[in-house]
Amino acid sequence: MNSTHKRENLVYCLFLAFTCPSFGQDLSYDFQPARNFKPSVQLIDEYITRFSAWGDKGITSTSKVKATFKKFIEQKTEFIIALDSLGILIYGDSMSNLLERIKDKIAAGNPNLKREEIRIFIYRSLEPNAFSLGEGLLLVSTGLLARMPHVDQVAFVLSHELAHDAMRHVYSNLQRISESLHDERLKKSFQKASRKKEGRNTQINNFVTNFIAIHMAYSQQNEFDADSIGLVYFQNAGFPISGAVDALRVLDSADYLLYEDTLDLRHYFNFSEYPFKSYWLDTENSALHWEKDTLLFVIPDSLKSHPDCDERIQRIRNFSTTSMAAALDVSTEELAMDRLKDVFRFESLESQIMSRDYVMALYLSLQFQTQFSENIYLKSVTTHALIELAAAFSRNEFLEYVEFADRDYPAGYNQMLTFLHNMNSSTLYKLASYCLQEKLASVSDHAYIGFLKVLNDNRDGITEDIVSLYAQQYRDEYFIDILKAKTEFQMPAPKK
Amino acid sequence: MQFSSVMKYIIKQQMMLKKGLLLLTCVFPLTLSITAQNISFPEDKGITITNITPMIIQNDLKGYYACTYLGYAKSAYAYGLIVMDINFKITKDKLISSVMPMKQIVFDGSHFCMVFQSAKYVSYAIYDTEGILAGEKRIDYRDPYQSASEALQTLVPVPYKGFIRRGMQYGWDTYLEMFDHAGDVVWKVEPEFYTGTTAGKVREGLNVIKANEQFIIVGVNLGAMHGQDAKTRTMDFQRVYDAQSGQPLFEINATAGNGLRLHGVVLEPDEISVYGAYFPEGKVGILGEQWGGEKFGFYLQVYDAAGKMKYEYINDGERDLKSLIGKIEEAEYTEFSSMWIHTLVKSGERYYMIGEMYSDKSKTVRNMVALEFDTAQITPRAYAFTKDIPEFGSRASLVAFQYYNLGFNLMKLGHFGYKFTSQNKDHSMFASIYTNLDNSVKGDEKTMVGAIALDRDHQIVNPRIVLTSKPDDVFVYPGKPGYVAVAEYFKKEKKVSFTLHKFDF
Repeated sequence: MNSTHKRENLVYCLFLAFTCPSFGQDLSYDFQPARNFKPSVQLIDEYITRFSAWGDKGITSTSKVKATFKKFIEQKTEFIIALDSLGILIYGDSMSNLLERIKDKIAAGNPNLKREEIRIFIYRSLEPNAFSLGEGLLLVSTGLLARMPHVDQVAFVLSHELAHDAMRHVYSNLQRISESLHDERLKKSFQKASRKKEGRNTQINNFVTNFIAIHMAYSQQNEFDADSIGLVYFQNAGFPISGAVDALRVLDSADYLLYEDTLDLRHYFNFSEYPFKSYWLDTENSALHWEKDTLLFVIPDSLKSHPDCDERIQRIRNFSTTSMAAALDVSTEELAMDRLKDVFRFESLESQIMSRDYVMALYLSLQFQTQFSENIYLKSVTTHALIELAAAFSRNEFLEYVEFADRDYPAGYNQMLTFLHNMNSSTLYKLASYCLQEKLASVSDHAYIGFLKVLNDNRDGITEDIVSLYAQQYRDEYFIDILKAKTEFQMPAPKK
Repeated sequence: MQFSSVMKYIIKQQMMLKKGLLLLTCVFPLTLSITAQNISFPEDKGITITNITPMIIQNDLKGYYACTYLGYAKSAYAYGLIVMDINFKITKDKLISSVMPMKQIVFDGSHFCMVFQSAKYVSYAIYDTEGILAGEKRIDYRDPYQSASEALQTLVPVPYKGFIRRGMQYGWDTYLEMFDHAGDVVWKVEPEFYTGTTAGKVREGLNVIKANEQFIIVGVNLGAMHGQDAKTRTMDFQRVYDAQSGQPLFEINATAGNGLRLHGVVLEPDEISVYGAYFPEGKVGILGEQWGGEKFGFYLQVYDAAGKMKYEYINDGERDLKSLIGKIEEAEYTEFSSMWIHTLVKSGERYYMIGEMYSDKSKTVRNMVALEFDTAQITPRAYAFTKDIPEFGSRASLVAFQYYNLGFNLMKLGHFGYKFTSQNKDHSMFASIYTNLDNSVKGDEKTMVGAIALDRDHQIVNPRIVLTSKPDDVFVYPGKPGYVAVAEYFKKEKKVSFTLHKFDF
């Protein structure tokens, strides 16, 4: 690396550290999710207007098809509104800034791409995913970014999504499905199948399977097309083909959680006044006694939206051109990626709390503590998850949050489920109380811990007075809003 | 898309990830509805709320199965055997076909025994949980009526070892026969002939009550006994057989006038506990007497492997019951009530008897009662759990019944709240489940599922689950201790919702 690059890196890092809080955090001590960085209302409105315009053009078919197409568009806009209202979209933070830089590098090598019309929103989710919504809007999950340590891998994902966008796959998919839902021949064959006296269920099953298979075949073809066009963008920008192959390998492993090992739960939940109990790990209720029939629940490749990753890798190798652009220097972005990879993981964890998947939040917070043992945010998430699960128990909603252990899940996650199935509300509240007393007592004036204390001290319900008291002390809008939402739900008074 | 549906969408996406689906790149927005609590079955499997059967062996719930008739084609009856884990997830789905219709299916912990019947013979087909035929046994009959009767006779599982069937011979006489998973006979018990002081022989009727790897408890009936014999020997008593050899070991409560009527048996290693109703007048079982028309109490007896009584508690009903239940301040006890004994559970060195009170006066079913027997103490400790409202009320068809007869009919007609008891493997916990209407908020009555449970700290607790959906009817299925599956039926919507719940204890 020459001195010009070093200087550029330094300037970029200083810029990020001063402007974007995610970048400069000391994760060994605490973490602040980028809650204040989200797309503006105007930006969301702009996309809603653009998508709504889809319904007025293009389709030349019957009014029924048009109506169905419009319904799909409505669902699409509602989806964006919902993502925004949930607060899981991140825009304008150091993470977005990094993706913008990578996008610029791709656009620089591909003049036909209008870079000012392409916008990337990051969304908080553990699920590794990226998708194009059309109109130049791409969404990339923190779960995907946490799994991709190198810039060229992310660049291939963005190139692939840009190819989907350029080929208007979202539009054509919705159009095709709308048309086939009103196809007269299909309707007649379905009615014929449903009139059968014997074997009707099998006939209908076959019909639906065929219908899905046809659409999945289109979807798989779209993926191949996006791979090939994406690869052209990718190579034109000067990224090496190995990045594309690595990216697909990462996607291939995306079915599995990053953290699979069992935890030493005794280490986390053994308190001086409330020692760990051996029956908390009793596996009797774990539902793992039956060997599963391997022939059941296997989804054939023909019903998957995406082709097999090995095949995609093979095709990419065949497509790749030997005459590629000059090698690109991405050392600045690599540095930023390296600094942000843990932030992506923490943001993914935050998504679990936001989506109320408290079991996964508990599991991940404990897994992360093996690396960041003193992190206040992680300990707070652990306590938060315990309190929420205890409250769910009291409301008879425990099983809505806690699944049974399953052979498809990793051993560590199954251990967590087993642990929770041996709990009751009183035990969970006790564990949360001891976490607050013994692990977080030394931290003062912390909005998250203050919020947890409020939850733990007011198990029968939160009143407006309690919210006002909290607001006076901490002034944290995010937690104040959560507490306000909880005032709407009151626990029923205990029976006499 | 509503807030909650997006949350569900996102959670569903994560569940899909865990369950091995590949990524979605081009978003295809669908409104998905999931909760981990709701249970749904594929519609083409023919699973209904009535054909789901719990697989409970020695108080341990293994899972559930549903055996459904799929149809008759090409001279064969087709049945679907679906096996589910304790979370109602389908783990096996096998097709069983036979040239004869199926009459019974019994599970012994590792194998299913299916009884098929034709006009000339009865076939016992033994399948493992993979749906593979392990063995078969065929019994020929000349008389089609006899084969039809044979196919419906009692078939009792011996845990993990095989099955005991009640067979017919010499016309309509009964015998017992155990066969293993290959269909081979392990032993056969012929009926004995009781010769009393009066002329003629009295042939025994045998019926298996319960079996484990060590004992078989057989109910013996001397239906034709009369005269002087009836004064020395009871008409109904129990005989214990060795499960390995089929040899008789000892008899229980066979002397005349003991006033004991068996409700159930608990089998433990080297120990047999019997419990039921006690009639102080001692008239029960005597030919010509109408049993149950008198006040009654209950009894508990514990025998060792040699037939020696280790513990006995007898409650005369009226005086003794008042002294037990009356001590509980919370108990609603304003009039004389009878108590129907539903079940007995052993945990450690203690026995827990679960009963339900009902009033002869107002013809109502009242509180749930748990009695804790410590063999070192003479008197059991009583716990009463009030129900929100008395159920059943006065019914014209039951007004004429009193005391035991009333309880017996309430039990047969399903008017009691008690449903079932489940216990964990090491017997440290149990939960007896009952249902009741919760009317604590007037005009907003809800159905409540309650549990009388022994928790991890060996305390009797009474957690409750209120079903806010106001179903017209409720069915509950056994789960592991602490869990209950509830099917709620909504008459107007013609809908059944099936959910799994966990009690907070």
